[in-house]
Amino acid sequence: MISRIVNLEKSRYSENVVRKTLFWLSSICEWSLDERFDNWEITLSSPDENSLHEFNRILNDQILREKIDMETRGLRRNIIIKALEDMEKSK
Amino acid sequence: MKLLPFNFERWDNGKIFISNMLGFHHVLNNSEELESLIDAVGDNHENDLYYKKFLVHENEYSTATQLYASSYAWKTGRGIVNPYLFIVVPTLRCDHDCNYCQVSRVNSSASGFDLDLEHIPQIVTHILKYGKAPYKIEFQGGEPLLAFDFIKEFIEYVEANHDEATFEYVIATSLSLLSQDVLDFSKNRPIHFSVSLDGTPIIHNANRKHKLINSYERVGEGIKEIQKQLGSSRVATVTTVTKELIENPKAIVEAHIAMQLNDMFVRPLSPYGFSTKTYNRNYGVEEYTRFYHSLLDILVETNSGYRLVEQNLLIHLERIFRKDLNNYVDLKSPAGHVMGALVFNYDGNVFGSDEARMLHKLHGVESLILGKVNEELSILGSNETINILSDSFISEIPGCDECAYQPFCGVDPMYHLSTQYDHIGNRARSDFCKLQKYIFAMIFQKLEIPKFEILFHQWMEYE
Repeated sequence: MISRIVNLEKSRYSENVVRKTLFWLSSICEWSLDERFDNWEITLSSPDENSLHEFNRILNDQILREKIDMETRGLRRNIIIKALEDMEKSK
Repeated sequence: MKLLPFNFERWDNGKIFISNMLGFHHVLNNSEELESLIDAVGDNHENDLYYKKFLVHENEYSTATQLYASSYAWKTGRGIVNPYLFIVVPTLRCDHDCNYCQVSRVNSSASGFDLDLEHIPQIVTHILKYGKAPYKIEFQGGEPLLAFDFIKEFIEYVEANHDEATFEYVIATSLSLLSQDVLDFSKNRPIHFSVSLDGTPIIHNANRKHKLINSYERVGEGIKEIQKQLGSSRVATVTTVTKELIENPKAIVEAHIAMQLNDMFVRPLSPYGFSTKTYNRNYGVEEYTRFYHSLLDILVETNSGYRLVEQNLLIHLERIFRKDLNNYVDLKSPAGHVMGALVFNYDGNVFGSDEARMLHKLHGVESLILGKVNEELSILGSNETINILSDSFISEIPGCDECAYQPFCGVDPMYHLSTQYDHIGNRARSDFCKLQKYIFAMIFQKLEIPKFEILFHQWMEYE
């Protein structure tokens, strides 16, 4: 079993990004998360290196998703409000 | 340009699939194109991404909101529907002893496992109250033909008391008990037959066991008689993929061609009934997806000379290309539990889905019972039902919320209740999720290959 400790600075990686990454990683390897003052300390345990590469890939994708979310959050909120108004009117 | 909301999924070949709330999709060639899109860089050129509403001009932002909102409201509303499939289980008795039986059937001679005839008027009343014409009634079991008297009386009651033209029936049967009486009764009535066909004789009989008859031969004889006396459109098959078939996808194609069938419906083993004991030891999602990939390769060649449509794949294609459709009970959002189906069980209990009655049988989950056939029924009366349904809007489920196949996919709370003891489940560990992602990714990748694009569009045109 290969274990690796990864430290992610809180200033660069939000809790949401870290937790969503670990959510998807749970089907591939074991992990634990410790919150430190300035960083997230993640311990990954896997039988092979591939899972650890996968962590980096998923982490990168979650950062991209967070970027999309920040760009479009206001619009999505307005969409939901408008959609609920439309459904209410159609009753 | 401004960015509009979208989700993305990476493919193994390096390409990136994207989709939005409106159901539009696009394939990006690489990570650079994805990052360019997110940064909304580039000129204001109105390209595919603009027309598919991934990007919008700043002065169109408000209009885009209205469009997205109307579409989202419409799509969500389409999923909140009355039940349209009514399953009646006249008996749990069965003359087969299938290894993977989902319903935990009992022997054909057992007593206390039949639905009382006196419940027929009450069942019909419930159907008329909650459904809308045309009413689709499916007789399941056990082996429903062991209770053919019930089926006859049910249909005759409807004919005597209601507008029979608004009812259509399916009998899910092994055909072991198909008799001339059954065929004569079915002749001028909207009765169809659904039968399991799991492969060649050896494969079929390996799991669908009968003490006295050759199950495969009886299926073949029954299909032939239905085709001859009632018409080819009156019988359809369901194939449950077992470990005997998984290495030999050609077997199921050959079995269908041998019986002159033009449609097939292929599905993996499901985690209910007797198969829960061996579910994880049969095969995993990866093996099934390799089987399915090979099956489609065989079908694209087969269809050059013989029409054979895989209906399960067609359902997925229609979820992509026919945005007005959201009616396949096992792949819709919100879930098809109650808002899709009602099940009237042999013991008088009423359930919101076939899987719910299977789970109740196996684990005794009383909260899945909606009520009793002979009582006033309130299908949304329990907190459990409301919880299951309110947690089944796909855009709100962790994991599904960021999935690019979300506009086309659905939720299956009973599957997750069975495998993870939680109706939401953890999508990262869900074989249901893995399989659906695989199927949708495969469809979109195959659509880039001309012979598959032609085949898939032909299948959609047949419908």
